[in-house]
Amino acid sequence: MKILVVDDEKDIQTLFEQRFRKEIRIKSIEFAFAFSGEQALTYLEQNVHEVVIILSDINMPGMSGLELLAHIKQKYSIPPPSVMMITAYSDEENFNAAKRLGADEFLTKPIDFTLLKEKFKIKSA
Amino acid sequence: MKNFYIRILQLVLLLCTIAMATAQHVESDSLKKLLLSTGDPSKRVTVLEGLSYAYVSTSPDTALYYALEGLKLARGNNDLNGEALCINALGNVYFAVGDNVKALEYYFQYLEMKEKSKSRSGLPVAYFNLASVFTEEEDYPNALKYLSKARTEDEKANDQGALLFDLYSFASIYLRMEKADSALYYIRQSHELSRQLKDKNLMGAILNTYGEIYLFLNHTDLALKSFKESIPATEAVKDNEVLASNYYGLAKVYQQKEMPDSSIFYARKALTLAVEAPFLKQVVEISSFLSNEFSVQQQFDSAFHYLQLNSMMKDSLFNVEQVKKVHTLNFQEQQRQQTNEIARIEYRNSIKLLFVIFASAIFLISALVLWRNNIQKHKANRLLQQQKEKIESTLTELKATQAQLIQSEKMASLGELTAGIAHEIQNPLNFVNNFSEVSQELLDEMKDEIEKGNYEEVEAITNDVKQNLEKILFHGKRADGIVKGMLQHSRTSSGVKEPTELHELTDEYLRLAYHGLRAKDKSFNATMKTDFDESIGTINIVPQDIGRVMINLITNAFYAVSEKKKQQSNEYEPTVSVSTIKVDDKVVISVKDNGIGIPPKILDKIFQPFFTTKPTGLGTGLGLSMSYDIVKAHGGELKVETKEGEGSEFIIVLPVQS
Repeated sequence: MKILVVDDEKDIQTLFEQRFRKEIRIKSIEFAFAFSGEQALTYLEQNVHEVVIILSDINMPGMSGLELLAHIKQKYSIPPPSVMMITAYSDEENFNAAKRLGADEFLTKPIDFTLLKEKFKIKSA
Repeated sequence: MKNFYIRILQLVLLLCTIAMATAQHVESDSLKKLLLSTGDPSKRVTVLEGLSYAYVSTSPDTALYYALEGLKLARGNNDLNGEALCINALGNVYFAVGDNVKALEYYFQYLEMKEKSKSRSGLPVAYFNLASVFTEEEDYPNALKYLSKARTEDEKANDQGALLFDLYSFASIYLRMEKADSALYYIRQSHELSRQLKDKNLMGAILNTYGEIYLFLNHTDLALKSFKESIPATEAVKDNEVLASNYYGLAKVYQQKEMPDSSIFYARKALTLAVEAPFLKQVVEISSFLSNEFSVQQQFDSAFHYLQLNSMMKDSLFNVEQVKKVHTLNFQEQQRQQTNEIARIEYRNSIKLLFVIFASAIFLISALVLWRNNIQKHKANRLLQQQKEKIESTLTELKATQAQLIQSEKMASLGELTAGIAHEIQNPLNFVNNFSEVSQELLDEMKDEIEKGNYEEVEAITNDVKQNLEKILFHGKRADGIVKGMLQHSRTSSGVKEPTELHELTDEYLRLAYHGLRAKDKSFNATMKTDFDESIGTINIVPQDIGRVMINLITNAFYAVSEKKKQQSNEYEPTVSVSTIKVDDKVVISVKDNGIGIPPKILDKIFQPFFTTKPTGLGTGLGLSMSYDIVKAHGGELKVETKEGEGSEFIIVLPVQS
């Protein structure tokens, strides 16, 4: 399963790689990292069929996570990949906007990796 | 035949007069005797008065003489009583001759004297006399007025005899006024009283008055009865006047009954008596009556005869009447003048009063107006005062509100900050936690690997763990920096403005910034250019705050040029210029660099809190937002001019007086 993680914080990558080292080792999950919305879109153009889940931060300089969400849902509708929004802001506005734009999940930071792993399992099934 | 009749008549008249004089003479003789014998002055006065009274109806001149004598004597002896008595006597004299004006004069004088004296004894007489005059004058209201007063006095004194006269007089007056009911009422009363008192003197007159009243009311039988009853009563007291009146009354009744013979018979009887006296008025009246009767009977000789008599009597009477008339006229004239005078005085008084009222009204009104104006002025003043106070308080409020707004803006931005901070701290803390957690897991794994003896794996894990710890430290510091930045941000508003040498300040902070940057990066090198306006001198600012702004801008500038240096070749000369200049009432500080510039896309975001183009950890993103706030708080502006790839200029505009 290929998962695209979009976040401007570079340490996110290190974190995910360490948190999912087992999964990565056994190749049950493969991670790709983008550090901006633009980077993510560029990657998706080439690898959309492989990417199952997109995990994106909302607050990013340049294209925000919500913009990215809108773009993805617009461009890749068949089949639409799952897009999960991660954010430190758990306010209604963001939640409603995400929901409206078609986000599949809304998660708050700090990330609960156990929960995340559960969600991945469901998706992979 | 005619002449003979007239001659006889004249003779009779003369004889009568003599007879009367003789009769009088007898009475006055005794009085005269008395006068001669008495030496006592007050007694003499009384006698003189008595003499006057005796002659009053027969010889008014004589009566006048005696009255005047008495008066002189009384005044000479300071005999007030005697004086009063004689004055009354004089009134009687004039009343008798028909000079009612003079009569009233003396009677009023007498009244005044009696009123002054404490005793009430003379009052009823005074009132009664006045009433008599007024009756003669046909001034019935006054007559009744004074008669009432007389009656009141007589009632007080319980003088029944006098009351009898009063009541009789009331009846006479009302009869004259043709108020038959009132006349009857009073005549009945007097009749009753007369019977009580067993009076003889007035009974005849009373009965006669009855007759006259009934005659007036056309109760002919009752009138007859009354006149007939009166005759013996009047004969008894030898009151010929009333007796004549009785006969005349009967004549009038028979005339009404259309019994001319009886009418003429009694009329003649009446005339004889009248001529005898003579009662001139009655002669005139009765002769006229007879003349009429004979005319009706077509006995014109007799009619003419009596007419002659009548006219002759009238002549005699005429003079008297004329005199009376003149007097009456005078009297009326005087009354009128008095009334006029009174009216005039009253008029003048009322005018005066009106004037006074008017003047007071004007005064009051003007006082009122003034007072009101005053009140209004005070009101206006008070209003103004109130408004002034209001304005002042509003001003204070506004100032407070302004401060509040600034504060709330701060708070709002702080609020923004809080949200931003939450997010900002969240990330580093996230990493701290996550990396800690991961490290623990790794160490557990390491244990296993050690037991397994996979030392390559163990080394890899060790490196990972070390890296994690570095990241933990890094993110920890990051969080620390963010908090510090936030604290700084919230602290900016508490500064106090003071006059600061701008030149010195700028210089100092420029040096600070440069050395600070060099300390961080030894390879850093840039050209510093300064251009300070010496004329600026001091401006009112919070030196630490503006200093912070300058550091921020300068730091940014240095960062921009150093970034460009990384990209470019050695030919690039990084330059940062700081200049100050005074324009009108403002000071302009400029920080210019030839660095990388600001892309237009992010230009409107650069002043937002937490916005930074620097990589994580290098900048809080609070610098420019804080600078913006500080400059705003000084009443100034923070602007930017930039071109991407070429450089930027940050401009601070500060008012000199703030």
